Amino acid sequence: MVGDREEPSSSPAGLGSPAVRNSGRRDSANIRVTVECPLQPQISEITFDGQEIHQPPISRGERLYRNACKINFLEEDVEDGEEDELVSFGVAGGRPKETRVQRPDPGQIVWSLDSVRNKLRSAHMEVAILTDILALSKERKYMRVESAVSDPVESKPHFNMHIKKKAAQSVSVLFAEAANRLKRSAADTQKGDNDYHHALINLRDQWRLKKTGANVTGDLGYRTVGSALKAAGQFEIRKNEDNSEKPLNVVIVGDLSGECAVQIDIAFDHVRSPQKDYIDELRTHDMWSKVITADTPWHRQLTAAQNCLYLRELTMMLSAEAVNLPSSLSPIVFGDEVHYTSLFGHTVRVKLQHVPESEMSRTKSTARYPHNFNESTWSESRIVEMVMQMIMLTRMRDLSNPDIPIPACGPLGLKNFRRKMSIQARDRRVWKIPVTPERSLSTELLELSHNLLLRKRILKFLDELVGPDLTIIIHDTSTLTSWKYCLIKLSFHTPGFDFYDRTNCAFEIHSGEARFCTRNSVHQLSVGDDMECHLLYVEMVRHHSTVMQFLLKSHRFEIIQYNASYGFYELKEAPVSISVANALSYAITIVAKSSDERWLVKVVCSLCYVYRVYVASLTAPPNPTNAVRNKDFVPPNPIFREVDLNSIVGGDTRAKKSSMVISALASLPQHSKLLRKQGAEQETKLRRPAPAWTRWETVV
Amino acid sequence: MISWVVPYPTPEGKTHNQALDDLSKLLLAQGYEKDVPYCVECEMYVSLPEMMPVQKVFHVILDSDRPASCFLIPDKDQSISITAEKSMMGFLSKLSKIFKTSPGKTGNLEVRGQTFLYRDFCVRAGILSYGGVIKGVIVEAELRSCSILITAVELMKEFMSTFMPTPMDTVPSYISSKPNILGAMYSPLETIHQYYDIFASVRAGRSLVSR
Repeated sequence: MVGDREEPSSSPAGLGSPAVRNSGRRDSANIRVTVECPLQPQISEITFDGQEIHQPPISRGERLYRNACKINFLEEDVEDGEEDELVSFGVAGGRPKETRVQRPDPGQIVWSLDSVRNKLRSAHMEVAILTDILALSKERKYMRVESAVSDPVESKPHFNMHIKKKAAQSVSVLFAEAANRLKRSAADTQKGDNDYHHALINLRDQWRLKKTGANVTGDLGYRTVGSALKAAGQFEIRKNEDNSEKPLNVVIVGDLSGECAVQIDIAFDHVRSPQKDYIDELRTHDMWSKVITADTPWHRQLTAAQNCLYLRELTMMLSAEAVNLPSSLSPIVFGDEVHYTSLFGHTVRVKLQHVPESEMSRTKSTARYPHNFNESTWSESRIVEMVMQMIMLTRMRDLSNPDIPIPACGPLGLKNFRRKMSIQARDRRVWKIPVTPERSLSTELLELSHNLLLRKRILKFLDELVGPDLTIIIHDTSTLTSWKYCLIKLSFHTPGFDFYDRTNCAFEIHSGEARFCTRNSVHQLSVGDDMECHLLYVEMVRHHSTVMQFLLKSHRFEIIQYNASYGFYELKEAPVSISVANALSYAITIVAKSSDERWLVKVVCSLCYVYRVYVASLTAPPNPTNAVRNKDFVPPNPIFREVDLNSIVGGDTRAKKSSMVISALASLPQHSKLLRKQGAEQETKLRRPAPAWTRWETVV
Repeated sequence: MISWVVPYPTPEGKTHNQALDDLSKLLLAQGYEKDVPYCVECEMYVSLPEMMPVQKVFHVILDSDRPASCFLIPDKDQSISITAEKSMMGFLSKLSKIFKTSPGKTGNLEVRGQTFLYRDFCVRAGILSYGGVIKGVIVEAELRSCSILITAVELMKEFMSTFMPTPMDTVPSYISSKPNILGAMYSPLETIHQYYDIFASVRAGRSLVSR
């Protein structure tokens, strides 16, 4: 058995060197001796200077690994190869053959190797599994689930459609459910509006509330935006147990309930009959009602109270300012009332009207109180209201945070002095002068009242100028642009004539002063006794003489000359009151039909008689000069006769006017036969009845 | 408004109080109106070593003409100076465990004096004292109608020459050391910095008037 094994054993043993094999053959054939050369350091490299670099001996672990590589694990039966393995394992490596006798017990070795083998096997399995998983995950060869489940299906559009439909259906069901839920919750909140807590939450959106102990209190005041009324404006909210419709009761401290308004009266001390028209009242009411959107009784109550507080504040500011106003305005303060004497001699009364709630029902019928005045209010009242809001807003903005809260929502933001003075490190003196006198509230208010008064007066004055043969078309732009600036443009038109005389005149009202502007000049208007806008008469004279020229041209007159005298020089010398009545702005048109006759038509305008027409005629001197031939001849000192245009009351003003002028011309002493004939024709034309074909019977 | 703060040289043989009296007489003779007294105070805050390993020092300056504000200037990096509300003082007193007013240094630095008005100009003349010891006279000249420094440098020089004993031919050292503030809007903090420069030199023991 041993001999049989000689050949195969030689190969593993003799791998090391042929010399070992030789020595083995020299001994007896039965005993195998394995000789290994003593462990020599292996030389890995020899450098050029002859130094040898040794490879370090392999460690035990490495050796074990090398030997384990040679084990065939699949071969369970190791009895035959046991010895060889032992040899190769190197348990007795490096020993002479004699030491073979003391080799360890083979069973023990097998046992130790077994554990190693088991471990290696499990490790191998793990590695194999790992590589498999890696391969799977990397190449995805065998782990494709969808392909494994079924074969690729060919596309079925109907089927897909059905699936999508189903999915959409399920989603729609979800949405419908959610919508239903939302609806239900919305309905719940609406139902809960009458609940105390819900009402409180709604109230807190718009008003500033805080909890003090068991009570809920709030503040309406403008303390933090520089209000002088420090204590006012506190209110308390109580639960209303009795009435389910009105869960809240608002109790406002102080006398703030009811309606409140600021009334501005403009009155003349020396009331004269034509100026009664200007006495008017401007009233404001409920400044902030548009800010609050919610409409519940307590909101209304709070808004009214805040309005009241605001107007009180306004009156306080006005009376405080009255001290520093110039003495020409002579401000007088009576409690809630401030009087000013304005420059034009009228008194402006700013008055706080407050009707407590208890009195409101009693005095409903009287028109003295603001709450009944709202419907029939003057249109300017609304302007005043808006302007006062604007003034107050700008004032508050000056005094408080730049991003001002909605006034109705009460006090928020930094205190004004902290914001302005500390971070900016302003000077002590800046602090002391919060309001510059130019922009004081009362001056702005007075300016506003002046503007309104002037505007009204100018419109009335223009109204007086309008007659049956003059229409003044007014373009008032003030409502579109601003309350501070009002521009009234004028155009003239005479009925029956084709042209529309767009004048260059305009009235401008700005910062309490009125001016009359034309293209070339600006005249300051003194609105004392009379409107002195002489330039307007000039424009009117121009217009009327144009009308007259049209008229005469249509009667085949020839316009020779047009002279206009606007009477500026006379006006300057005369005193104002006389000048308007006697202002002789006139234009003379010289017309001729033949070379030796001249007719003069003079148009005069003034406030007393809107306009008048005079006629005169003169014949040329008996021996015609060059001037006559060249039509430059102007008659000296004509005697004018007035054409009584006042007798024109209605009807066709154009025809009547022309006939009157022509007949007046014809009645002049030095008339030609032609003219008299024409005048007679004109009269017969007027008397002629309407032609028969205009009657309805003939048409039908 | 722009301000220049300069030390007023006391003439030889006169006390500082006498110099200030002479100056106010001169100003009144020139047509100035006397206004309220003013006071600029400087307090030093030092961090306690057990709270902060690296000691930090800053100065709080109060100006009676800016009654709602206080100014904080750190010792080292003066670019992070702060203009704050007066309530900052209350906040600092809450921080008394970390910062403490310097106790060892003898008292506060302060300038007390009188304000004189002349149209757009305002002159503040006061005595600078350090812990009760008078150190010199400080003059602050203010032009109220201008906010850009560079446009008014010559005007300020000319104006200050009207009451200073020697013609003013240089700008204050703080302004000359910061050329970038010349074209910018002048803020009150620059005035406070000018005061602080003078205070710092007094603390360091340097003489006020270099000339």
